[in-house]
Amino acid sequence: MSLLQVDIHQAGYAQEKGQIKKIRFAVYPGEQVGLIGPNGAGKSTTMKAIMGHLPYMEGQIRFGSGSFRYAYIPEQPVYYEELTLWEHLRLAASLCQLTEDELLERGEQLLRLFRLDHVKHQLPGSFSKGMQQKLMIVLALLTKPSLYIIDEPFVGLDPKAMHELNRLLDEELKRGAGILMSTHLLEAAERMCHRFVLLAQGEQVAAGTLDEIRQVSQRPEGSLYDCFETLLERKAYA
Amino acid sequence: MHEVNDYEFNGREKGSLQRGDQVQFAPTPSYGNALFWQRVRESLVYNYQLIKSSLDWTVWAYILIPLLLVVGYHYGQALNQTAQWPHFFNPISLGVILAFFCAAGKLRTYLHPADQLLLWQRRALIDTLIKKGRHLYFVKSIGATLLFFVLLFPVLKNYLGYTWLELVTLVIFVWLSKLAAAYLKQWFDFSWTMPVGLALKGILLVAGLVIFPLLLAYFKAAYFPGMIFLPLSCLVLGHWLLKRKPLPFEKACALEMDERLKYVRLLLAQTSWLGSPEYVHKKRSWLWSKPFIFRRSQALFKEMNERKGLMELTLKTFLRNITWLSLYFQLGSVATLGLILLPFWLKLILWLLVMAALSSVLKSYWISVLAHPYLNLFSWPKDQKYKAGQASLFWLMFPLGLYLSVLCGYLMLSVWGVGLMIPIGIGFMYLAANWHASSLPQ
Repeated sequence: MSLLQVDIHQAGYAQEKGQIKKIRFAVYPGEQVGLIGPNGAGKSTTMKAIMGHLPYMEGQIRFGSGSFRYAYIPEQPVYYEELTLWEHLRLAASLCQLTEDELLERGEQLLRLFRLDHVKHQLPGSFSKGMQQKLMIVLALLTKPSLYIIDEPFVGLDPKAMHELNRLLDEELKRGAGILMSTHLLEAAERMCHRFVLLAQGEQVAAGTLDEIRQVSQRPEGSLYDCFETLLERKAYA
Repeated sequence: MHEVNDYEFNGREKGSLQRGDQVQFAPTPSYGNALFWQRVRESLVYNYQLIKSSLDWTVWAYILIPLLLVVGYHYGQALNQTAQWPHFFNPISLGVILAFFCAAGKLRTYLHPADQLLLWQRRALIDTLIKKGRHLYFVKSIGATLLFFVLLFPVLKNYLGYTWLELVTLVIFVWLSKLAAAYLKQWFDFSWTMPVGLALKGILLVAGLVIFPLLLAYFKAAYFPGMIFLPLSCLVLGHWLLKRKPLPFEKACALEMDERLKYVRLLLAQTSWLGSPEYVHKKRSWLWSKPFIFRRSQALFKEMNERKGLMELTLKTFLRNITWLSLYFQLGSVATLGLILLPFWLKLILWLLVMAALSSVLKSYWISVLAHPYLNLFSWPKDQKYKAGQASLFWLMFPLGLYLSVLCGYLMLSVWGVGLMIPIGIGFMYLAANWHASSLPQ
């Protein structure tokens, strides 16, 4: 049973301007899927389409049943300027129906892990970009979702935070959560993801495990980067 | 060496520079003058275009021209002493009006953010812009004060019995007070963080609201030298403080931008009536690292659920948002003034209008809170939005709504009026909150 099934025929900000098309893939429990493509390939638009934030959408998005919940970690941090870090956590906990004890236990632990505990009563507007990004990660991890949708997770993070994020995401995968992650860091993606969806110019170029992508790109020994380059070149000449 | 003069620098009147020209910018006083007048001209053209695009002939035909005719008719009646409404004016209400008049208006710097690319290195030009801006305000304030007193003339002369000498001294006193207020306000803006500056400006306004009615109640032209001393010394103090203060360039640009765009914001704020999305102007973040209330993130509600979470979000963000909070207090101040000044039945109409405006403003706020991308970071049930909206709107309306109901009731029917208006006010707020919450997209 998949956590997410994506079948986008066409989607975008207006009907006459379909920005992404023919994108099909699924995310299963315990699986990390990398959404990969150059700038402007449609990665963020695909994520928005999945979450239902695009005005025009033709196709189907199916989420897992039962107590399914997703959390989104955006590339650009978003927060209320007037709420403190702890109030953001409390708001997320209230909306996702966590208990006070769960908030205290999990929230405090995550803040300690990401070294944000000393600023928990401060306003995120006064934080550095990296700290704001950590806030987004903490919020997502706090709600214990079934599916993580992560847009460029490593932007602005210090090495320790990157390490902690990797470790926590691994734990979440073991718990049975799924992860859909877009990134430019192909080496990291190759190491972390089980399957990949390659996008270019708003269309899906290839999807599958690294071996499957090697087959499609006819680069049996190639890295993800090599395969990606070959597929992009092929698309450009097609 | 190619000397760039005023015209060539603009690159319009005499053509632009050629590749290879050696450029030497000459920050001469004449260039500063030309730059200043160019910016004044641009500002006037901008405002004219704004007015032209927003006021079409229908607005003139159906609203402005009839309004001007009504005002002209009443002005004529007041001049002939046949109008009854000027009898509502007394030294206290006049003092309140004059205090608000003096508090309005800002010294402009005519600085643009892009000036840091060039003018940053030529301080003399920035100084010229600022100095000229003050000179212009000096002239503008004379014009505004004279116009204001021409409008008030029938009331002052025919109904309050001011002599010509008293009128002239009052004009000078008000003009100097207006200038002094503008200097002090700019110093508050430049020297303090936004909330402190706003608080200081509030104190200045309150001081004006106390001093003006008192002075007018005991006004005699013979007191003129004593009266003039106060605004004059404030003006000298403001000028001296501003002269000592190094220019906070970014802040000055942000304030200038706010001033330049205030009419645009006013217009955009009305567009929701046409079915367009709500427009809410957000000032640059002024907040320090910790909020000024609930500093340790104290929760407003014990329970943790969707409804309480959304209510807490709405109430806390509102209480900590200086833009919305000042709008709330401005609405309250204007309504207070109107309720004091207007005749009996008009008080009730004004109360109704202000309550409707208050509920509408708060609805816009609720929409802006819900439209925030933060709420898209995770999936949540969204089945308590209506109830949360209803409760939040009611509690946000409650303090000002109750105050205005009590004031209106008291001014109309004394204690009996208070007893009558409190349940009516609460009922109105409850119905308005219900109606607005149900009209929101669920």
